[in-house]
Amino acid sequence: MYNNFEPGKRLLVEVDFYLKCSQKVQRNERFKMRSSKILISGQWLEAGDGAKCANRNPADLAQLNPAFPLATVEDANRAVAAARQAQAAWSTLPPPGRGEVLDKASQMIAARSEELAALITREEGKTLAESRAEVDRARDIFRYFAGEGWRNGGSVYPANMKGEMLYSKREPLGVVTIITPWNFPIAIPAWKIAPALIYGNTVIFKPAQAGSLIGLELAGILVEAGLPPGVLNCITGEGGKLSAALVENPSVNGISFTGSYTVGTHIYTQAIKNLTRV
Amino acid sequence: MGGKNPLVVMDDADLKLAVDLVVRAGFGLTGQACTATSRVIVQQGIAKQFSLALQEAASSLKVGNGLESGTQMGPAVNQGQLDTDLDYIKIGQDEGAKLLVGGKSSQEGGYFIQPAVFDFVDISMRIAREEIFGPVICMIHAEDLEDAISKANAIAFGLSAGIVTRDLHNAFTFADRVEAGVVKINEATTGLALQVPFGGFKHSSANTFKEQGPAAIEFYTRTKTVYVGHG
Repeated sequence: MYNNFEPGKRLLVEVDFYLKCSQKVQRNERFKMRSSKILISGQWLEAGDGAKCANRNPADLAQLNPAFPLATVEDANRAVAAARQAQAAWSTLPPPGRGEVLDKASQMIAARSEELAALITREEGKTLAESRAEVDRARDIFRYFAGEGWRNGGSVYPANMKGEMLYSKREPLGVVTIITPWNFPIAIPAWKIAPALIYGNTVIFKPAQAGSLIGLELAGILVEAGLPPGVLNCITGEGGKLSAALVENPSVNGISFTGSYTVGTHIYTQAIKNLTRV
Repeated sequence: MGGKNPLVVMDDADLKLAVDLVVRAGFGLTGQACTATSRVIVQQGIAKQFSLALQEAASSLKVGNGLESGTQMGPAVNQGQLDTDLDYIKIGQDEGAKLLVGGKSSQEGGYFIQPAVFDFVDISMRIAREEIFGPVICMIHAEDLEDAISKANAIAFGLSAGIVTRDLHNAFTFADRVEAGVVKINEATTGLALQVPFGGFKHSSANTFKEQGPAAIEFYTRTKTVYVGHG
């Protein structure tokens, strides 16, 4: 990938193009919209059958959090198709250009850290101090992996004969499913999504139900930071049903999961049928 | 994919540090971290002193709404998790462990539970082997370093493990022999640096790829080797 990359004008033009394509939405509308819509191919959509679910604030059961969509298996398959379609173009964007998007996302997380921390506390219950630390971690993770766009090279090996060159290079895995738990609802998605994107993969992100709102917010930040449509898709809803669809779909090349042993071994067993990397 | 992370407290440990690490890693995030401390393997000579200090720290922790200032521990995430926590408190008592403090659902209006400490937990008990994912500490007594390592390694999980000691031999022997993907010497079992590999041993991971830092590239890429004959 480095071989195709010329620093300077070309990079700036491409990144600028993506930034212009990204949807700019007013901040106060954004929360409402993301909390009630899933993200597929750059579009904020209703779940297939329009179903939604609201969690209560675990520290104050009288307080209902905004409802999040309950995506269907069809939505999951559409999300995989969107990620598959977006993968070739995303992987040919020079890595430093992909890094620009992550760097912008890092800055946006920093700018909105208090709001994001409060959302985590309302949704998951941890103290505000713990939520702030987690948001700061997400900011740093995007910054770290943004820099990976400048570093990911390859290797050249000694040849066996005259006039031969042996080298190896890294290619993206392809389309990856990212399934995350509720206990670190922005840091764990960050540590999976950031490397997935910088190395040229496209993603279907399924946050845990008690991390749906912050998950959709993070997806929204990445779109606003300049991700092209379909590079990151985010669906929320019932874990077992959706993860089965996202794991068994043959277009999926990798599954990154953090959660319980029981669910983890189940996913591993499902994934092995297609020899999908877990 | 789950943990039942031990913190070993040796006789030569800084007692205040040991208690602080258990409070932070055992009760922080309401015990809902995969790297949370849930087993404290304490050497006989310091066990009594440590147990008293930990009880005091646990009972003075302010549990409440995380949005309010001064709150040190929030609620369980949902009714299911709260029920699991309370079930294990009962299981521990039925198995014969001694509940020193906490373990009751506390305030109305939220999924609150008081941080709990069990003493005299045997490594064969369910509360010593199964992940609870709540603010429940199990104290297990150990004769010496050898016994502590053997008890640390006696279960199926192996995510994070810590030791509190001032002795280099204890520290490095533990680091070499404990079956865990993350080892902390005089630090909390929770809390990760983003620039280093992270992942568990045994049932704590799929045992395929690590995550984070320089390890992330291994999972998210595939390597292509190219032979170019140009002679």
